[in-house]
Amino acid sequence: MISTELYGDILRKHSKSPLNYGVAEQFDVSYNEKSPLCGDTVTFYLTLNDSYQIDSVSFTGTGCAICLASASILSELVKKKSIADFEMFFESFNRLFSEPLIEENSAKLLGDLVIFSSLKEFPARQKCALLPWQTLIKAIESYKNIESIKP
Amino acid sequence: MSELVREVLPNLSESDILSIREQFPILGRTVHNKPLVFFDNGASSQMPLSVIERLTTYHRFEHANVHRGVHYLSQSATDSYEKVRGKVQQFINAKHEEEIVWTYGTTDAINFVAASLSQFYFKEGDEILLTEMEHHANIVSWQIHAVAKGAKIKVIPVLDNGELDLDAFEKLLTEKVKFVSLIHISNVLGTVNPVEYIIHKAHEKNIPVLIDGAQSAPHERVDVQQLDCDFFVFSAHKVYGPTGVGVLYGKREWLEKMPPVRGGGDMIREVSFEKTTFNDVPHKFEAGTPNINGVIAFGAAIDFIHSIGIERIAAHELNLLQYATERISELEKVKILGTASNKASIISLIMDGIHPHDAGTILDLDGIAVRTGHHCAQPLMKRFNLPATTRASFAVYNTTSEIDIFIQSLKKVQRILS
Repeated sequence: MISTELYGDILRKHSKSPLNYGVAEQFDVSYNEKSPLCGDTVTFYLTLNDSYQIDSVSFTGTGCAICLASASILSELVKKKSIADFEMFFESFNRLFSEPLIEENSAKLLGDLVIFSSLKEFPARQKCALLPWQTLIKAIESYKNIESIKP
Repeated sequence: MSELVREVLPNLSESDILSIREQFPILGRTVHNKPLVFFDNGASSQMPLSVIERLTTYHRFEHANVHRGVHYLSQSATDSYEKVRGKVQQFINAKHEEEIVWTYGTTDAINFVAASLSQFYFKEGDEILLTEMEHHANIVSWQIHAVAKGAKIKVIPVLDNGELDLDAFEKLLTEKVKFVSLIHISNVLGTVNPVEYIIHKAHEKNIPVLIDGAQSAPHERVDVQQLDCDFFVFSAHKVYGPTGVGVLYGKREWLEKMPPVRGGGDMIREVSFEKTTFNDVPHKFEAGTPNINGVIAFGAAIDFIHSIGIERIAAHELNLLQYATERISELEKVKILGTASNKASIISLIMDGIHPHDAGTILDLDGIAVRTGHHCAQPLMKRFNLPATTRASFAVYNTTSEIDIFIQSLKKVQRILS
C-alpha cells in the first residue's frame, strides 16, 4: 500500500525522533530557512574543518513529518563528509523526484533517503523534503562567504 | 442561519441527494483507487452536468462576441449573456439589474472597489476597518490601493471562539473610519458574522460597508437589500459555476460615483484622443470581451441552485456540519478551530502533534480531498498561533457516509503519525 511506503517506519522514526536535533553549543555557521507557503522552518548548525569537511552538524525546526525526516536523514548523511560529497547527494536526491527508477549507485549513496522517491506522486510535498537541503546549501554558501572575507 | 430555513421547506432526503450526486460526473471517479470524497468546496465547488452542458452547447451552436454586432449569433449571444445579469440580481435580491457588475472573481471584485475608491474617496489618515479573519483578498487589495493614498487599516479582533469582538468593533468605529470591509462567513472558522448588525452600526455614521460573500453565497440565501450592504462580492466557481466569473454588487449611488479602473471597448460612449466619455453603469466597469461562456454557464449554475432551493441546500449542509462536529468530537486529540454559535459547513481541524500537510496527504491517499495550509488567512493563523489547519468544507452533494469515511481516515492519520 502506498501509504506505508511514504509514511512508513523509516519516515515515522525520523520525524518522531529526529537525529542530530538541537541547537549546537559551538558552530562555525548557522542558517535558517522558512517556507513561505506553509511556515515550515529549519535551522542548520555546522562546524567545518580546514579541508571543507563537515565535522559536526545539528538542526532545529518545526514542520511536517516529511520535512523533519528529510532533515534528520540528511544530517546523519553529511556528517564527516565533504561539501563536494554533499553536492553529489543533492544531485542524486533531486533525481529521485524525476526519474522512474532509482539507479543502484544512487540508492547506495542515498540510503534511507530513497523513501522520498514516493514524492514523485506528490509534487506538492517535494518542497517539504527539499527545505532542509536548501537550508544546508545556504549554510554552506554562507560559510564560504565568511571564509573568503577572512584576512 | 435564520430559523426560516427549517420552517418553510422539507429537507433533502437521501434519495434527493443521490439524484443530485448523479448530476456530478466527477463524484463517480476514484483517486488513488479510492472513491473521491470531495471536501474542498470552500476552495472551489464542482459543476453539475447542466452547467457543463450549457458551456458545451454554447460553443457548439451559439458563440460569437457580445459587443452588440448586427449578425444573428452576436445578438443571440448578447441576449443569453445579458439575461444572466438579471438572474444574479434576483439571486441576491438587488434592487436594480445595473447594480450587478461582472468581474473575474471575488478577489478581482474587491481589488476593483479598492482601486476605484482610492481614486477619489480615501484621503490621508482615513481608516478602513477590516477583521482579523479576513482572506488575503480583503487585506492586500486595501494595502495596495488605499494605503498608497495614505489610508490606514484598523483590525477588528477575533475572539478565542472564532467570533468577532463586537465591543472592540464599536470602539474602533470612530469618525476617522471611512470604510468597513468584512468577510461574511470565514473560510477557515466557518463563523457567520453578524453583518446586518455591523452594517447598521456603520451606517449610523454614514460609513459604507463591503461584504465578502465568497463563502456565504453558496451556503445561505443572500438578500443584499435586507443586509443593506453597499457592496457584496462573490465568485461563480464556489456556487457550482465556472472559474473566471465573479459578481460585484454595488448600490447604484456608489457605482455611479465610482471611476472605472479598466479602460477599453464596451465601457465607453465616445472615444477620441482629446476626450473619452464612459458608458453607463454597469458597463462602465466591464472593459473588453467579458468571460462570455463563463457568465452563461454561471446562469445555468444559478438555475441548478434554484432547482433545489438554496434554503434546502443550506439545511442539508447544516446537517452535515452537525454530524461532522459530533463525529469529530468522538476523536481524541482533534480539535475544531472556531466554535462560534452561528457557523456554516466549513470545519478546520487541529490534530495534536500532526502537521496538516501530513494529515492531508494521508487523507488524499484515501481519496479524500481537504485543504491544508493557511487558507489565505495568515493573520488569522498567527492569531491562533498555528502554521496551518486541515479544512473540510461541504457542498450540497456531500453525504454523512462520506463524513464516516473521513473519520475513519482521520483515525488512520493518528495511527500512522502519532
